[in-house]
Amino acid sequence: MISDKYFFDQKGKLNGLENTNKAIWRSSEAIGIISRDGIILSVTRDNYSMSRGNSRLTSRIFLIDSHVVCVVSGLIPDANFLINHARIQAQHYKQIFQKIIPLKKVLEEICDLKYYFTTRGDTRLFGVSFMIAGWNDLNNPIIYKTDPDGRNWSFWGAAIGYDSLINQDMLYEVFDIDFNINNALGIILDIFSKKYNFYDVTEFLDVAIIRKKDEKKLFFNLLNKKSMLSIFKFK
Amino acid sequence: MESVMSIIGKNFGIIAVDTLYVKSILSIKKDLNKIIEIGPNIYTVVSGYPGDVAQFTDLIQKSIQLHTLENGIILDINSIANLMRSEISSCLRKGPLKINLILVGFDIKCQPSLYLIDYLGNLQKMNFCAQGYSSLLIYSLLEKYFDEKINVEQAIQIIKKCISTLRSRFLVNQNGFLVKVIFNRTTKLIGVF
Repeated sequence: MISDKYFFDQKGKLNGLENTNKAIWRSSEAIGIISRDGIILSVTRDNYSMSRGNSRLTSRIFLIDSHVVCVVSGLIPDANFLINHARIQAQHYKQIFQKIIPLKKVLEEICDLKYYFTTRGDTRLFGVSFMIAGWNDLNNPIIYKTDPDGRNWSFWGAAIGYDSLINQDMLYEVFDIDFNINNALGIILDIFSKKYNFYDVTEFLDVAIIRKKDEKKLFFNLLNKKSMLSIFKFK
Repeated sequence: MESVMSIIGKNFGIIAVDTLYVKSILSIKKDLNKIIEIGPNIYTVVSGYPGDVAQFTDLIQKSIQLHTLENGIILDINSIANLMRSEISSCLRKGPLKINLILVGFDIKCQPSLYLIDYLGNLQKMNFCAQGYSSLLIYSLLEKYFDEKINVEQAIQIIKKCISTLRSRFLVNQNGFLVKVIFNRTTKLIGVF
């Protein structure tokens, strides 16, 4: 059954894409910032009333290979499918070339699959938006933000999910070329504290600090509630 | 059957290969250049069944170019060697390619490297190497005269000794041997001996 919403309408929009974006805007919010010596990714959880027992399993931060991290906003089952595909392709690349997969190629694998479903009329789009973070060939930290139809951009500071437009504006105001990782962390905690009561927010916020260890690996540090509170008080 | 020999020195690599093209008992062409450039300053000699040789060389050459265009990174010699090996080994149980090849070039740290890839998919990094029936005669000479600290002139002398041995002892009269020296960013065609 070919549905009308995958053809361009009279105003030049794709209805399927618009509705998918709205679905993502209802999901958890995520902000990512790059700085000279590291990357910071932060994402809220779905049900913050639940206990933080299984923090790894309910987190929305995934590792695609030991040098690529991604954050998800939107439907988690769709994200699982895409991340699985990307993980397989990363190991396949390693098997053929005996080298770790470049970041751009991971992005291409995910976005090509997302794009494939935009040209078919009988299936729905993947309702997920990614922020894929890592270091590129020139050894610069980089964050790619992807849309559900396969568009991607690279940002110094990106926001997806709930309130993404407002968050993106707030990030534009504080842009500075010479960021330190502490500055970046401060910005993220600032943004969240302006919107919510900070003590409550630490219950359902995941902040990950990512530094580069060597060619193939990253230092990955997930902050817990105590450390977030201590950093915020120190500010 | 092709005769190929190759030596790696401190900052150079040298390949010598015969220039004869044979079909059953006739020699069709006596000045064929078999050293093929498949990557930036990376050379290979592929020997075996002629159809497989042409198809494999083309496939790898164009795959590498496509990869460079798609991803914007230039593959280094280690990745190219592993790509060739994985291609041969994935065809092994479908339609085996009867080829042996030698890959010479400089890696990212500007060290010369020589890879030998078998028809079964064996990949080895070596200092000196020979292919073909003539390797039975050449290996003992290379083993005796090779030293890690040789320079270009000494390496060319070793190659000349190997060629004269082949001329006097090998069954097939392979007319001439094309010798090529590969430096970090340039190559030098020594000539046909």
